[in-house]
Amino acid sequence: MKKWKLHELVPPWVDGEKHVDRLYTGLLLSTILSCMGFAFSIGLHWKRVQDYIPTADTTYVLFEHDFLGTLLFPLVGVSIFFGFVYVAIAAIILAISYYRGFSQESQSLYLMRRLPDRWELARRCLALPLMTIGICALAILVLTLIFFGIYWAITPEGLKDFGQLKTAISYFYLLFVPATFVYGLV
Amino acid sequence: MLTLTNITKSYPGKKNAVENVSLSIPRGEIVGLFGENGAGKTTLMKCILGLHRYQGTITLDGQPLDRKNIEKLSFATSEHTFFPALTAKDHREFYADHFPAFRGKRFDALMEFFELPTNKKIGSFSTGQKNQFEVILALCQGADYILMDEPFAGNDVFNREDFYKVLLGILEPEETILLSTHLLEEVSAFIGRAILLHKGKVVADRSMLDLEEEGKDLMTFVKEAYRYKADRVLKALDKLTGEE
Repeated sequence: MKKWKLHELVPPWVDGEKHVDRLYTGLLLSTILSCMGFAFSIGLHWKRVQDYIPTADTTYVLFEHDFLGTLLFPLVGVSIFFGFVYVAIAAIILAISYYRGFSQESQSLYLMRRLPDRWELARRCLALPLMTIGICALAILVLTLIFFGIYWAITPEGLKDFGQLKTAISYFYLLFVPATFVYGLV
Repeated sequence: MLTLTNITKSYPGKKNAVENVSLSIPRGEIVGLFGENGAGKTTLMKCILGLHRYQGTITLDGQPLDRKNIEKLSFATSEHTFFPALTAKDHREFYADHFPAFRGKRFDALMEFFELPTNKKIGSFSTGQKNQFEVILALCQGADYILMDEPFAGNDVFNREDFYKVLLGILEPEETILLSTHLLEEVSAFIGRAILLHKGKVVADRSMLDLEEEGKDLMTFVKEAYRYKADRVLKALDKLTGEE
């Protein structure tokens, strides 16, 4: 299998390293933002569970202290992964701008479309954006698992419920809309 | 042999841009493709290159045109197909990477002949230089069939003349040129065949040798084919001056 070089995965006029640096910076900032948001969230959760006394109304208690809730940034009411969403949106915009670049000032699109390698144009427009989106998805998954581990470790036995991870995954898409809607819908 | 059979290209809500065009272009010919603006010259070329969807069949040496043989066609257009932000040197590398038959020696020789800078972005070239570079790329890709669509639009007459001479000097017997232009008189000396399009249809297709035997020049042939009314200008002027 051919090993691609970075300059073969972006339009010929693009400085691939510069774009990769920018996307990595976005990913790093998103990770930091997520960790900060989770630290804040889990701090509140920690405070609440200190006063936890098992009661008959477990549903209410679980709802108050569920894992899904910790994945929301309490201050701004959005998912702590929102940075990754911005990076993914930026990646989509990047793909569009790459494609449009082949029709600006000249019609190099004609050249790209008649190259012997039929995937050349698609690869140069989509490779970097798709890799970025993939890394965003992977980062969200890994961070979710890490955060759940932390959540699990500090949650009292009576509130522990693996179903919460399942719920969080089922309602994952809701993490990308403002928190006020999330509680309304769940 | 490039063979077009019943090529029709239509745009939604419009008349056919190209209608039932059938042509055979053997290797080694220089063919002029003529027609008024909107006659379908560019559309036909883009159909051949696979840039437009069309009805009918196009084959190259009996095989349908696809990714396996598309590199045997190259294209120079006044719209330009180079990357403006890259230098000539970058283009040389790009073409050498993607077209196995790329003619590096020819590229260097033509760049030198036209005194084009190799380390300057093509976007900063003058229009004439851009056209020259566009044609250089098409001639150096290593294609057997070189399609040129108004390649000299914006070039001065000396520039064009230089190019015709170079073109005739460097072409190998297997290389074929399909040249679309309005500059009938300029190209009449070196084309071997003239195809005339009118409203998307082939209205005439003659070899220059036949025309010579008939004692006709290209311009006369074109005028006849289009039923050009030589007196229409005089009539119009008469009407206009009569009104005053």
